Amino acid sequence: MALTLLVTNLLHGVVGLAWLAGLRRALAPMPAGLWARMLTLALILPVAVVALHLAGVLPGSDASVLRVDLWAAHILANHVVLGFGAVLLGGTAVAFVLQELWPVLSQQRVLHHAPRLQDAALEGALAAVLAKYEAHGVRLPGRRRLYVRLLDTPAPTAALEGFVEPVLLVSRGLRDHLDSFELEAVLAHELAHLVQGGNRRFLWVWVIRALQAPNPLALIIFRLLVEAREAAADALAAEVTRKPAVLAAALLKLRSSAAAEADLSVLARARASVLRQAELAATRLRVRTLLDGPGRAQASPLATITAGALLGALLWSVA
Amino acid sequence: MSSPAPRRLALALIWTAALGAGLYAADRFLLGTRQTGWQLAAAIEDIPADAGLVPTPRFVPEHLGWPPRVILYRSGPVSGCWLGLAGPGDTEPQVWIGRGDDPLPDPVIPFAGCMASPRRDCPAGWRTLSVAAGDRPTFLLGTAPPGEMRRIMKGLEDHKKRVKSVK
Repeated sequence: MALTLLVTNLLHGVVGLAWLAGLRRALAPMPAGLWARMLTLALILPVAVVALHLAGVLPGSDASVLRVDLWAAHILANHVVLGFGAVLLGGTAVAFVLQELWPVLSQQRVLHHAPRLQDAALEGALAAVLAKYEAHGVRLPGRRRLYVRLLDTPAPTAALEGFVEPVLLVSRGLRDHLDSFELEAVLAHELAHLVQGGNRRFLWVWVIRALQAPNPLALIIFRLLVEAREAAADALAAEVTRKPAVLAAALLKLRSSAAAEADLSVLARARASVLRQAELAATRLRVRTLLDGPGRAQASPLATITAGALLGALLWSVA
Repeated sequence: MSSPAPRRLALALIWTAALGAGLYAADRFLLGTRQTGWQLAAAIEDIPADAGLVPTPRFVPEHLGWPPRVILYRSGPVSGCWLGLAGPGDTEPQVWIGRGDDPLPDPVIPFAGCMASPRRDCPAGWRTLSVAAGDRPTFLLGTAPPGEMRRIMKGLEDHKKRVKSVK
């Protein structure tokens, strides 16, 4: 039973990813917000379908597009495939801990340890960005007042923090490198995350991802989702501020002002170097997208519902 | 799908249907068509993997002989397997070992009452033992003396351990 559910989850990951890849190609250019939502659906729906399996409300295996029990039986009968699968799933679970759990905890430690200060320049920039959002007709969720705080640390970082009462955080290391337009662009980007669901929605998505920790397809979809969320926030920020090049410049400054790691051990320096390379590649892509024209940021709710219905129906019929 | 344009919706529908059809074709091509219902196998090795674990005993009385005279299996989600053991002079199996949900295979139907709880309408002289192996019991039905039945059963308890290790 456990193996069948695992195989079901793997197959759903493969089908979801193939469906997304084909659809993105067929419907290009796709709004960044819709792509992020579709990736979210591809992560959530397989878990929902497995839950339906457990509740016994799915069609029998012979009526399915893919006969999961048959695939599971073949995997069990083939020791090479079984061994390879065990290594792959175990490795993916380790990758989940190292790439997705540990960095989140580390970042939280940095954010919580640095003192938070009120800063007139940041508050002025936030007021200007909020006015632009209002003028653009984009409604911020919730009616609570938004706070922005200066994080007293030389590390260049900006983040949206909090699940109930969101706070925008900008580090001194970042603020000192940016001019007022770039600061607005950074705040517009963080506000865009709030418009697109904020930390509360992403926490749920992360929990669903954690439930599929050994699934390599869920790992790929989640990595794509992290990039898509940033791209969607970039697109909305560029749309609202009408200055995509300024956001691109801020992104480049954020990366180029990263602190040196001279006092780290060899292993930690190597790890930091690998992470920096990955971040540079992601930044390069984001900058190129912003300079080429990020396109429409948000999708209509109807498009999201249609995408969800199609993917849900496909996964339901698959297994 | 950024706008409710019918062309985009049509493209999405076509792609979804094409992917589903492609996966269906790949599944049936690679794994073949599954025969439903109970099937007769010539040898234990011929039982497909999706019929579940074969309840192979470690001990079989000499007068019965091995391999089984009758080997029945059912593939798919309602999988199962029944082995009928008979001696050289027997016309019908004298011992049945098997597992699988209803409906039972035709030769085992007369013994359905032996496996019911409470036991009812069991043919005279037939004894029943069972062991919980995995998500369902493995039954041993036979006319062999109680001591032999217990020894066969003991061999099947090892099967229970194998089921646990597979689970």
